[in-house]
Amino acid sequence: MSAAADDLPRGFREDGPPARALARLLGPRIPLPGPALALVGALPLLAVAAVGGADVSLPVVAAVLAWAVVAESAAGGRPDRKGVWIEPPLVRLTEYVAYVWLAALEGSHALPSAFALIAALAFHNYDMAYRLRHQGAMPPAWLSMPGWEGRVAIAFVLLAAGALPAGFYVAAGVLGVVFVVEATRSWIVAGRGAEADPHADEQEVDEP
Amino acid sequence: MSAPTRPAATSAAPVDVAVVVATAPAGDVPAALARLDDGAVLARLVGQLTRLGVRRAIVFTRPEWERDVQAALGSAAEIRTPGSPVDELRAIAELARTTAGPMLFTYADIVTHESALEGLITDPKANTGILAGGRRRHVAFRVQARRGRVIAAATPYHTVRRHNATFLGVLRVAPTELPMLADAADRLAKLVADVPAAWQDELTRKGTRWRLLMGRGGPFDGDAEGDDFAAPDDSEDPENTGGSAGALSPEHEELLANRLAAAPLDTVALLLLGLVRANAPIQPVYLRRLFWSRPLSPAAAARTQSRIAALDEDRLLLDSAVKSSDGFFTTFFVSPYSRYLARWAARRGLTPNQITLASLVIGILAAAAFAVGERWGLVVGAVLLQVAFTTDCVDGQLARYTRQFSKFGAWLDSILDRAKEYLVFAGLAIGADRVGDPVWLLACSALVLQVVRHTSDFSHAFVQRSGTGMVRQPPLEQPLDHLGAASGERRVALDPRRRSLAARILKLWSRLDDVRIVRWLKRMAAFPIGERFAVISITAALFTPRVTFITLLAWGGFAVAYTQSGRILRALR
Repeated sequence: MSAAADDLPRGFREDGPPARALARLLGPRIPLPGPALALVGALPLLAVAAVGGADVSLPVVAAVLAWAVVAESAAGGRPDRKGVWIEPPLVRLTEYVAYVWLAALEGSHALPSAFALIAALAFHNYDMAYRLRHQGAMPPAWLSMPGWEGRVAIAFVLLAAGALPAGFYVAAGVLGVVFVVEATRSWIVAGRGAEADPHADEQEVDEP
Repeated sequence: MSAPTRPAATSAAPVDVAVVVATAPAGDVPAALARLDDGAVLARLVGQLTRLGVRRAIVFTRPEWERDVQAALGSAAEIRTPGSPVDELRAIAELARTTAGPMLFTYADIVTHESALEGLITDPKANTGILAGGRRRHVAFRVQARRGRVIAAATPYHTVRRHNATFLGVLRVAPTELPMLADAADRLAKLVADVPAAWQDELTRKGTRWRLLMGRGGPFDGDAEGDDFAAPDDSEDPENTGGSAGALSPEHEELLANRLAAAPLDTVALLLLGLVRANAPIQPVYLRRLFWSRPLSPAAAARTQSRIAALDEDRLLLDSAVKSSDGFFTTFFVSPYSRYLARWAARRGLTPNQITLASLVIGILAAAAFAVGERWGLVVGAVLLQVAFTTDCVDGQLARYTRQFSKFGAWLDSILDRAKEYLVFAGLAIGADRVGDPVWLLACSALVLQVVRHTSDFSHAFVQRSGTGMVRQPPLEQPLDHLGAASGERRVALDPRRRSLAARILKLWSRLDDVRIVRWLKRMAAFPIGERFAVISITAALFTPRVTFITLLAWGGFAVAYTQSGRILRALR
């Protein structure tokens, strides 16, 4: 297995520079399997979001989110490769639940803005998988800046600054336009003859 | 971007040189000269290849048959008479070194639909590929395919342990793999010149197995009456049959004798093996519903003639355009009529991408109707969503039916499917708001659950695939398809007492697939798109958006538990 192929599930995680630094620093030092570590990171957030958690003070919110970011980033740095496929979905779950929770803290009128933001980010999430399958390459890395942990941090700042729901709507609009325009551009370029890997778009066919 | 993007290679001939191997006998005449209503089998095949854009066809036959073959073909192809499989393989190596474009290697004595050959020859994805059939075609050699790649192939001298498909005698080799093919042909020629003892043993074993199989009766022309993909393995090893090698009917004796005589001359199967063992990427292109047979006796040829005459090729091609991996709702409630819409669209000259965009527009209208919030809006939205979903099935079927595949089209179809689904979520939530029943939290949860579920699927599929890209292949000399070192480990795995609990559960679980209903229930449990859209339409039209989201969350949550436990078990195995 080549190193590049091995790292692709990690590409789906959309780690930014802070998450990667945390992975390098903490990953080798915490003696837990990566999937377990990622789960430990997500659990407090999932639990507090599930019981409502609408009357939580900002420092507690920050602590729960920081715990999730630190533990899931560290999971990405574990040398053990077993079960590595579980990390991207857990990171997505953490990130998206964080937006829903932050919007709920602002009030139920802010929930549609979280829906809009997640829908815009989901476009990019699908685009990563489908472009890899059909074009043979992932979208450029700058589209994932500032990383999922950076996006969560900005979302927290928006809540703290009282900029919700407008902040989420603006972010959803800007990201949506950037993602769609970049994807369209990539297909115009690919359509002009860049030869893709002929075996990259093999479907998962349930054949004999 | 509405026109399908085809790679530059198709502007040249899709196949530069086709090597047609007419050495298999039917008694003492070439099997390829069996008569059909529209001429000899060989002439029919060469005609099909020429129509499909093969630039140059070269027929290899025995010296004593040259005159007859010449008479059947006229000037349609060059004829060569190498005299032995060794010389034939050397000639092929020479051709592979001097040919610039793609090459095709095929048995001369097969009868199949032109669409089947077209699928292999003009499919832009299949740079190097084979025509493949289901595993019940007894007359064809077995192969094992995994994730769109052939990883093991049988020949007269080689065996496949875990076969799941068959090689239907047509191999297309892309220019990039031609040097590999030339080297393999040279090495095979050396081995065939002095057949190793292990190879001879394997051929003897195969002869015994073929006799046993014929004793049990069955279709031995290779026409399996359509491939039953999900049929349980019919344990074909002589050890398991329990049947005795009784006397065969005279016709079966004749077929068996011809097949045994053809086996040592089967250079096409050897070439495929050479590529597989050299780790070349070889894609199986499945026959699906189309017809294929290899009649090795006059009686078999007569049967082939009557069967193929009774079939409607266009109808079979249309049936083949329906994906066999679809879910229950799609298969039984949409595909039965969507395929006729696909044919209608093909006749109107519509492209798959136009259909995809039409589906998006209808999906947006459905979301808008849901956003009204009142009963009539929910009902109209439910109906429109089903129309959008049907249209969405039509685009893929149209692409497969007319062979207008494009990478952009596949991407657009996938991404717009997701867009439609989440637009409908938003529409439902807006509508619920307007009638005073806010469900945004449920809508957000359903959105997050579905995106995370898909991310898990992509991530898992990706890791699986990168692990199977390269299989360590044994050398050409070895009849078994796995490395010697691995055989000890396999024996342990075969011993039921040594198998892990996870492996035993999985084995039992896959056994349940033999029951048709269970197979469909398993597919439904994973909550595929057809079921999701049906749930949305039914619950929204009859109840409220709140019920819709709760159902989506409950079924989706169950699907997560179901698929993840399967994956964890497989990881522990």
